[in-house]
Amino acid sequence: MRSIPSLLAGTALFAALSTSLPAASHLKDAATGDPKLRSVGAMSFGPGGLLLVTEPRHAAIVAIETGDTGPVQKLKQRVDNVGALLAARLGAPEGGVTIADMAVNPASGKIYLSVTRKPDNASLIVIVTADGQAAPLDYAKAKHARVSLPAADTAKVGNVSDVAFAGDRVLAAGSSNEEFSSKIFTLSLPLAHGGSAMPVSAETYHVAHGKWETKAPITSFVPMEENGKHYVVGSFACTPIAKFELDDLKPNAQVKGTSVVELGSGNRPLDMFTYEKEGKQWLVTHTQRFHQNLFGPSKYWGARVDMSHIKVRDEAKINQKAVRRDVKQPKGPEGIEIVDSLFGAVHVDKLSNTEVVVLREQGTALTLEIAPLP
Amino acid sequence: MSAAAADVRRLQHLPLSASEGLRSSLTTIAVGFVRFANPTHGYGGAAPLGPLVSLLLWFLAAPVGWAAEKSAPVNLLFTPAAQDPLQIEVVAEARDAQFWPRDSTAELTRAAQPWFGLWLGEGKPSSVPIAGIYALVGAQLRFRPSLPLLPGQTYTARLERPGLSLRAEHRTAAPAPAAAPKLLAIYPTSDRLPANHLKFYLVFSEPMEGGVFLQQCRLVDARGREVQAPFRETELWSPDGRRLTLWFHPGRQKAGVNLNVEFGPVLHEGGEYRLVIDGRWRSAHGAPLGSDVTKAFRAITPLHEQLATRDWKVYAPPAGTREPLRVGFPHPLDWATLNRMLRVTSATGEVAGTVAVEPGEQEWRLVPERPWTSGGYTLRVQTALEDHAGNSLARPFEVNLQQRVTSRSLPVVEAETTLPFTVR
Repeated sequence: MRSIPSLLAGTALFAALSTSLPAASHLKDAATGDPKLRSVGAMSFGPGGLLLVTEPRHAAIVAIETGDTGPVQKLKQRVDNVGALLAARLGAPEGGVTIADMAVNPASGKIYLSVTRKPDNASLIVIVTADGQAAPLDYAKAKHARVSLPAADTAKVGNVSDVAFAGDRVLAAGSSNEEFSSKIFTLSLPLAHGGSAMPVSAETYHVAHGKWETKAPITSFVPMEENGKHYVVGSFACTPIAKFELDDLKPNAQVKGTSVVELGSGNRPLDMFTYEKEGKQWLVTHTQRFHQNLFGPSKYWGARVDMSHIKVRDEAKINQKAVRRDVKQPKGPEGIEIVDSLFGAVHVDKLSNTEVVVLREQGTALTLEIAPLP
Repeated sequence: MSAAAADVRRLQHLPLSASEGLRSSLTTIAVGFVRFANPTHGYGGAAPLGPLVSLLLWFLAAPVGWAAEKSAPVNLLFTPAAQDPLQIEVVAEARDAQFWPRDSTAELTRAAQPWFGLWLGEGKPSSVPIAGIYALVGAQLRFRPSLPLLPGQTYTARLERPGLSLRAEHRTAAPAPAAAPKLLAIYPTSDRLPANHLKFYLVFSEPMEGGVFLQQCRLVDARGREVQAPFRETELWSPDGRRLTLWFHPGRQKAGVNLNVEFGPVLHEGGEYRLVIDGRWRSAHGAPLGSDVTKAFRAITPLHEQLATRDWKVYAPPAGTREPLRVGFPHPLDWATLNRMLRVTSATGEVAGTVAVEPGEQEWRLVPERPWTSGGYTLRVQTALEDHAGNSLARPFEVNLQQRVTSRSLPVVEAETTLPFTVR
């Protein structure tokens, strides 16, 4: 679901180089064989086919060195009924499979789905290849490392909402199943099997109408590096997009994020990624909306935001004065646009700077296809 | 080595006839046909038979030795593992290894509709087979599904080669009838909740089916009308899958926040409501709750104040006893955080014991493992402790910035506040 942060030339170069590096360099004391995933949720890729999988109910991240290092072979044609395909491949009745998330391996173009089979709750990763075939990830040659979110906090982390490779570390967002709060965790590289992450941040606050300030848990994020500083750009349950500066965070400190964009009320952010086109950097986020549809046929929709809105530092353009999407128009203000190809998108992930893989709601079925990025 | 593998190895050394092979797997029934049309095997004609007729013929023919069975070029059978009959392997055994194309496994792995595989149900040749690993071991072509089979299902193995069409069915045992799950408790237990109430905890007797909670939980007002979209969509289970945290939509319950303004809050002060958990909700084992479970409550004055310990009452137990330490609160507090965020220490360390939250969530108790000794103790409370509306000891859930003159410093996470008491 994540893309490697490549917002600066240096970072982009690092990402390009690291894609070809063996993922083994990112694991320490790795275990071999089936990691026996206990639950599956959000996923994303690091370099060299390194798959990061959340175990949302168990407050852990499993990093899997898949060995899937390319070359890129993208999906040749649309897969029409992904639910039926997965059910058939997993020996389950139709409707007996739930897809939690989707991630595209940038090294190979293969599409990874985190899946739960009913009724035995088997949790697994399924790979869809260029020819539209699906098969569970084969662990025969894979190595993995499981890192738990801090034991002292485990009781609080009831859902791991996102995970991403951030160049020099791995970041994860965990939300509580008791308090209305979330934490951001950093996992040092190499990821040590049996190790533990460090919580570096706790909250952001959402200000409504310049008056009411409340906590807001992070639901989806991308790492960002700018002028040598590390940030997390996150979407929050009440749909502001906010950023945190990571470098200043102390363990267990509580840090206030800076709201930079408001997408409109009643949207539940799902996935985020960044891409570059004609020298311009864009952030794509897609959400499930609470409101009646004003645009498009689906509750699911997506928008792109010019990264200059994210990088803004001007006090007159942040927090309660952050730029707000014109919810009655498909575009506007400048640099904020609805992305038509993301209507109906249940999950999205970047394939390249020109294409996105979309798991799309089509009537009662889910289709898997490649769509152009604007 | 699994029992299934051992079984297959035995077969490798002792080639079986079709009937013997099939009988070796008690749950396997051959219902297909062998079409003897391959001249290289010296058989002619075709004998497609319906499943029942085929089964009948097999039983009739087996005792006396059916000529065809000794000549069948391939035996197709299921080999369930002894320790787990849902872990199976499908074995197609030829008379010799040359029967199989040299690159069989790669070819089968690549193919969208392979000539040998396993399907759920009847397994139409054009449909997608179950994923798994193929292996060619001597004269045996083996297929092992990636996942165990599911109970109570029929699976079909098919083998299609020039002049040869084989099918075998395998019925997995039906699951033992699962006892109905129980919804053991809904917290908070109080029937009066603030109009800005945030969350419930549903505690079940066993793990429940995931991904369906929004369909299985509803909120109904005094007129019996369903409140639209009252819940947060994020599904939050405990690791054991038995406790669901069911949130009202925070965007509607927070004052001044978009959805609260545009749609209104979920609850209105003075209103009577029923939280209804649908009796059709199934456990992970597939058994439904059986009947709806309802929690009726009245929405009372909203709570906006930051919590404070100054109004708490600490009832110190007498020394020499294991009577509970009791701590009373002026308002009900959040059941889950109450269970986790209070502890007691003395000069010698933390007091071990059993914590209980009394019904109504206005009293916390600690029963020590060992009798209390005289002296000073400290009740330590994490400031993240909340009431029903999310107000904590650290801050109110919502801060009205316009009522604050100076900027507020952010609280330190996990900070504790302490209440000393003496046992005499």
